[in-house]
Amino acid sequence: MFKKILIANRGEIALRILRACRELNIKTVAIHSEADESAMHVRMADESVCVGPASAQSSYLNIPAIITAATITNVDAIHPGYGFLSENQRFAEIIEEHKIKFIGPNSQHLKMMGNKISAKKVMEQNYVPTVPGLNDISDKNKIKKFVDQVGLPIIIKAASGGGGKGMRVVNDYDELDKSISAAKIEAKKSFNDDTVYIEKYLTSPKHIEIQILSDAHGNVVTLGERDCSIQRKHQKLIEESPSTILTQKEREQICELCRKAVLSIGYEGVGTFEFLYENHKFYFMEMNTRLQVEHPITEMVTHTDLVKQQIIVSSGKKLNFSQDNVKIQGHSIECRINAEHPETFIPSPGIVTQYHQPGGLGVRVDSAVYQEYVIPPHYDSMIAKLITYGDTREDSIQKMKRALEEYVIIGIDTNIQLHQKIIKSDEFISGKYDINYMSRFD
Amino acid sequence: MSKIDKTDLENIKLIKNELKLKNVTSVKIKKGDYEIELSSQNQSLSLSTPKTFSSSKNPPTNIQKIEKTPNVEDIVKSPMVGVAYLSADPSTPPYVKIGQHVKQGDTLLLIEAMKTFNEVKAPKSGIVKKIIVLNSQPVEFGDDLLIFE
Repeated sequence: MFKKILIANRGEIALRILRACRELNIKTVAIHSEADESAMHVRMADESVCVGPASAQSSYLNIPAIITAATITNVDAIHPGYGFLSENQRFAEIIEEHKIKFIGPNSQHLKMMGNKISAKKVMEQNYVPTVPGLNDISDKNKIKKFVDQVGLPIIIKAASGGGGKGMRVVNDYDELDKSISAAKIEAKKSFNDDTVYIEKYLTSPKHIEIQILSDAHGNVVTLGERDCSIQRKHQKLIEESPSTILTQKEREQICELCRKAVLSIGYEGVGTFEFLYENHKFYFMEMNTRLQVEHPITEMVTHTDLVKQQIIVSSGKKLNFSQDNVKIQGHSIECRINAEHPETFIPSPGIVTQYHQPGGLGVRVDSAVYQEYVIPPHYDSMIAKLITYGDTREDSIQKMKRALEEYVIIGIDTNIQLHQKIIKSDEFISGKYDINYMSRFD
Repeated sequence: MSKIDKTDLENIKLIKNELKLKNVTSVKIKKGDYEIELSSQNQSLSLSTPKTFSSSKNPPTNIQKIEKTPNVEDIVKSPMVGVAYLSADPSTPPYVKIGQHVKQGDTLLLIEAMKTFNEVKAPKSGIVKKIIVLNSQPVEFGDDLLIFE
């Protein structure tokens, strides 16, 4: 087992990883920017190293500084968390070269899944259903044939894309050429790669994802699904597990396909298969090769500490449970609490003058905020994750309503009121919402 | 830090005599791009190298008195703390220039906060008189960004 781990992240996820390390008797090294000197993850770590000024580019994304910090503190592994460098192939490679373990899949798998076209190809080879698409868009006749086949609307996507950049929905065939050029320009600017491809556009799907965990010895388990359809501008806001609409048979089928795919490519660590789900059909979108923000709801319904398991398998140990031991029990919901105005969505960094977080049975708060903490303007606006767990969905919703009422964050704007509105809405309660749900709030 | 030397003192004397300043209340010397600023009770003038004494023939008046204080409604203030950008990205021209006529709702600049780029839109139609904020300058809530005529 590792003796000391460097956590290459900040905020609640750095704290989450630190807690897992502590329970495994592993020493921790926090890295931080100048803006994060008094952050909770720094205060709680065994050691800390300042790796640069406030901007993420020169601190949490500063590969040479982070590698140096890892070397001088003599760690055996680096946990990248999510975001920042967690899916950066070059970072994983450099760490491997330094004989330090990157807690995540190997760099080859990061590369394979980082490119959306290659990820889709791998999935197709493994019988995982994907969105009907056309990768080669050089031949106009082929495009025409494809559009005739799947019908409009279609969507143009960037091969190296993410976060909605380089995407265009096309409703009218005459607009196709113009949209392709526009998407190419945007993709080139954002990702320095103007490769784009075309896919059938699903109009009202749900976003459903499957959690997997795999060791280096060919043992793979799936840990159920998460419904993340409540999202605004491709940013998830509320997630729940299990999904309200999947039948047990559908769940087992898709999980088995994911399990086989993971086994066939020899992927190691935690990972998530993201799907769109419409009319009882799954369409693979992408695979996230890291811990997800919303991993706690899976932890709650499977009674599994995903971060601890991730560290254990990364150290080379065998998984200590099999698929038969995985039982999904109860229901869990997560609300992402952001420092932003609940109606205008304007970011709201600043000092938290009063802070009281909810508690009680079935309520979990993953956050690095404390009273008098100054939320810096340089990083993501998500400041807390409020997670509830109940025997039934109704119970879980009831607890969420209560916990949101109890949550006090004064001094900055938060989206707590927005969450209260969503949780109380008929569509959310019915469970029949899709990814367009949030458009009503814009 | 460089020290004040004889040349500085001579320059101050020179400026003082040239401008016939009396009652000098404060002296400011800046060494980067050499600058000397003298203030007298009713007068304030600053000169930077190369010295252009000739331009000081105009009757010295307090600079602040020349500029009218703009109306509150003509000032666009920052709606959030963050970093201001005058163009969408470094390779494109700025959203607005001084003297440009903008329509209500036009994008004036961007403020990056918490990983999001937020457009600051024109609260009214009018002519841009002054852009106070510099490109990639950190701004705080309520800071003046731009002034309309």
